[in-house]
Amino acid sequence: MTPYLILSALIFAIGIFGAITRRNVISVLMAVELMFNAANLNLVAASRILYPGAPVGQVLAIFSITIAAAEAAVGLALILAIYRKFDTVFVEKFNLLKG
Amino acid sequence: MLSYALFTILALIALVSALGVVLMRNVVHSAVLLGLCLGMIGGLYALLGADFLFAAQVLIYVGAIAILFLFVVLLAGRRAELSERPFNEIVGAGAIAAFLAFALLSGVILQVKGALAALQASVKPDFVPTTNSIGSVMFGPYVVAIEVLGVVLLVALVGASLLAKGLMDQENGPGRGAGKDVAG
Repeated sequence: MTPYLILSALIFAIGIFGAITRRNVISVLMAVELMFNAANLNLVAASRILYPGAPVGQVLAIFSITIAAAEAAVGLALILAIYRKFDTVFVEKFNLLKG
Repeated sequence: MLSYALFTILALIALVSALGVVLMRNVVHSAVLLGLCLGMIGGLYALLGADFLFAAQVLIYVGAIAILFLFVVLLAGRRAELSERPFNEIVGAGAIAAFLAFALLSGVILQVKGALAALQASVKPDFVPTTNSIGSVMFGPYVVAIEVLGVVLLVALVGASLLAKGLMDQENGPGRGAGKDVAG
C-alpha cells in the first residue's frame, strides 16, 4: 500500500509547485485540483488497510469530491468575473487590494 | 502480479500527466492532461476496490470538472497570453516548497510503513461491491454531513451563476469589462 501513498505525496508536491509558480490563474486552480485528488487517493488507500470491509475513507473521499466540485464551480466563476474586470488571467495583475 | 503491473502503468501515466498539467505552456494542453490524470487516478480507485468511487471520479472529475476547465480556458484569456512566460519569478522557491512537502510526507509514510505492512497482511484481497455499504454509511452515521453538503452545493450553484453573470458588479458601479452588457 506504500506505493499509493508515495504516489499521492508526489502528486501533492507537483500540485504545490504548480499552485505557487504558475502565472495563469486557471493553471493555479488546476494545480489545486491535483492536490485535492492526491488527498482523495490517500484517503482511499489508507482506508483499505485501516478499515477493510468498511468504506469509511471512500465516504470521506466522496465528501471531498463534492466540496472540490463546488470549489471548482465557484472558483471558475470568480475567474470569469475577474477576467471581465481586469482583462487578464495573470495573477500578479490582480492588485485590487494592493495599497 | 497483474494488479502490480496495472498500478505501475496507471501511476506512471498519472505522474507524467500531472507534471504536464503544471509544466505545459499552453493552458488547453494543461486542461486536457488534467482530465487524463484524473482518469488515471480513477483507475487507481478501481484497483483499490472502490468501484463506486471510480464511477464518481469519472463522472464528476473527468466528465464535469475537466470539461468546465476547458470551457473557462476558452472563455478567459487570449491568444497572445499563450506566448508569455508561464511561470513567475519564484520558480526556485516553489520547487523547494514542493520538495519539502514531498520530503515531509514521504518521511511520515516511511515511518508508518512497517505498521501498514503488518496490517495489510490481514486484508483479504477479494473484491466486494462497495456501493451498498457506502450508501448505508452515508445515510447512517453521516446523514447530517450529507444534508449540509446538499446546502453547500446549492449555495455554490447559486453563487457561481451570480458571479458568472456579473450581477455583483452593479452595486460597485460598472466594471471595465462586460459588466454592463452581460448583466440585465
